[in-house]
Amino acid sequence: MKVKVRLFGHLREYRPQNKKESEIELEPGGNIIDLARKLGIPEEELSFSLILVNARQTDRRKELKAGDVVSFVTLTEGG
Amino acid sequence: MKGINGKILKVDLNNQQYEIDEKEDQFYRKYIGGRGFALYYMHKEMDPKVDPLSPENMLVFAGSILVGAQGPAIPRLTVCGKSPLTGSFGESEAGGFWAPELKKAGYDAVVVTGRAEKPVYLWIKDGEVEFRDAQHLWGKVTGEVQESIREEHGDKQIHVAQIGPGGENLVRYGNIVNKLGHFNGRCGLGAVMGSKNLKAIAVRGTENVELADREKVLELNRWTAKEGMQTSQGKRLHKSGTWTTVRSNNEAGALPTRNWNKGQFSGVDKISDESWQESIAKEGRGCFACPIRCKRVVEVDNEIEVDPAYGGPEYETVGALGSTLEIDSKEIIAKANELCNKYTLDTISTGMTIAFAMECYENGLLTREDCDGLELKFGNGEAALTLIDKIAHREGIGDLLAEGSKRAAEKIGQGAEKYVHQVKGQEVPMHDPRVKTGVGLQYALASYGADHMKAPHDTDFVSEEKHGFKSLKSLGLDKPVDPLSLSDDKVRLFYTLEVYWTLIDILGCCCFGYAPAGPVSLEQLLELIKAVTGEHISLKELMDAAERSIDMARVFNNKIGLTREDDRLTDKFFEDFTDGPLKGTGGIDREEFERAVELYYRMMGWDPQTLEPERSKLAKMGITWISKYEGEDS
Repeated sequence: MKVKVRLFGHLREYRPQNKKESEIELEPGGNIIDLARKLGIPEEELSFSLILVNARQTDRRKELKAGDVVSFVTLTEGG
Repeated sequence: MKGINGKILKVDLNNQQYEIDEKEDQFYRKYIGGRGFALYYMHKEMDPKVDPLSPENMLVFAGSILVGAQGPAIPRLTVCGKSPLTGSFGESEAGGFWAPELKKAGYDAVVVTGRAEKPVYLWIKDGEVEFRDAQHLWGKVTGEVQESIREEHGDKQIHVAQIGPGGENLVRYGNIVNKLGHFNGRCGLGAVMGSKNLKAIAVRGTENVELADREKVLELNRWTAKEGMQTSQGKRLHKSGTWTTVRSNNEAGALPTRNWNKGQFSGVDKISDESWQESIAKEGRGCFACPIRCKRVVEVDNEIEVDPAYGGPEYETVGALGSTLEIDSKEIIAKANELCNKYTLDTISTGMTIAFAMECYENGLLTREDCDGLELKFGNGEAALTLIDKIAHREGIGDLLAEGSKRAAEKIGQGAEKYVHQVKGQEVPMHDPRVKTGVGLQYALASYGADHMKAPHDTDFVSEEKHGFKSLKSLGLDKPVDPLSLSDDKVRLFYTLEVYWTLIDILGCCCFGYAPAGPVSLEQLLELIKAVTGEHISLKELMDAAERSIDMARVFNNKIGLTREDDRLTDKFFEDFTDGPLKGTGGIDREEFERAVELYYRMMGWDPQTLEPERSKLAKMGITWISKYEGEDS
């Protein structure tokens, strides 16, 4: 199945191509951890990031569906 | 106790006299610093019902037991007084260099009352205090004033906390700046300085504060500079500051856009972190002894011309003067920020008040004639820049908008209040409670009006694996909580996090230095406190001091006459999103929210109707003396 991936902020360096949005092929039943592994994002980094599936924060073990939009962005507050 | 001077400077501008209040260790352990110090004096020596712009209002510039030590990220200057914007207890913290310099100059805080007949500035040098004529500085912008005061004394190391024309002209959201780029931004405390004819307080100290274990303090700073800066947070704060939040909130469908009518901005690519980095950003700056150096700096050398001396816009400013106004020009946002900084206007309230005026204009509540010929449509950057000038100088429409959006709406009438988004009269910051309900609780419950820095945000506590959850587990966090929940667990989480971040504030620490948002852990913070003071002060004692200060602010507001009605979250957040990925969803359930607010009051030991703390709560905190019950504990 294919999911859409958007990487920004400090996670931008893990973009598969230098594009805002890429499609990634993932095994059916795959979750955010599988996707992060495929993108080369260290699992530890997920603790410091805001991960959104279709704009909502989601458990990283929840099964993704084909067509889901997954955004990996920097978690910050304040400023 | 080491790390303190044991001296608070009390200044009366009416007769240009001062006295030194010498305090025992017990005072410092009980109140710690910041709002703790301020509320002690505000309860003891001021009538809470006074007009905020009268000589009787008090303005407190406070450090803490830690400020002045060369540890990581402890630079904060807290300014408190009664706010002319909210009519409540007012508080705002700034980074920079001023508070550490005050400690070196021999004082832990400065308490100012009265009003000078003519403009003055206060000059504090190694314990000596002078009232200096400031008539030649009145009307000047901040950069000129800092230079002038430094030249006058022939010392470039002098640190100046000051107001520009915005504060002088009593703009209700006028702020206070030190070193041109560090702001006590919110609550309009710059207007209180203006009302006192106090242009600036300049400080210079040449003696380091004595620390119990200086080597240990320096070792913690070296750890932060090396290991801490290799953490995900250290690296990203150094590289981007808070700019990455523009994209993060836009991806979540929750970037305030067009005065909160939209949650995504079509111009986001032009104002996101990478866009700043690739164009007008310069190397960032930092605060006293802090290796993180997260402050932004920008320079524009075309006809717009933006001076890097005034720093650069951070996330809140990019939101308030950018997406909220549908302005996608970095140069215009940078210029708007520079003007606010020169004039000392809070960028959040300035942007939100202009956004309000633009929505009034677009809907025919304000005409072009009302707006001095400006076409005040969303996206009109030139008009926004002109308005900032007019607000600072109270010219034309600027005089109305200098009152803040709530008061301006009352004058405009015709239902204009529906375009105002505020709590207690203070315009809301750039985080949407519809995607993190704890932020809604912050906005509603902060004693000083809508604020996003009262507690760490929900998003870092949604699973056991999140860094926020892990790093603060020892505060008793035992369960992750959904960001949209308003359950008992959410209120408990909010309560714990609020008390903890209040502790960070009263210690004079920057939240970007310490867990959960920064690299230094809670355990290291306790080591630091021991190394500075030489005392073993437990986490319980510290958390109690933080909660005590929250109770003291509540009681101060109760004495003014604020009620539960003043803790109302702005209506916008009870409505669904109308665009983006969350379209048709998101509106907070009003009943659930009110239930959560009530639960919070009960958790704090406050009567949910009168908001009076139970006598037992005051006794437990050792502050019966601030209440109608005449206790002996002071």
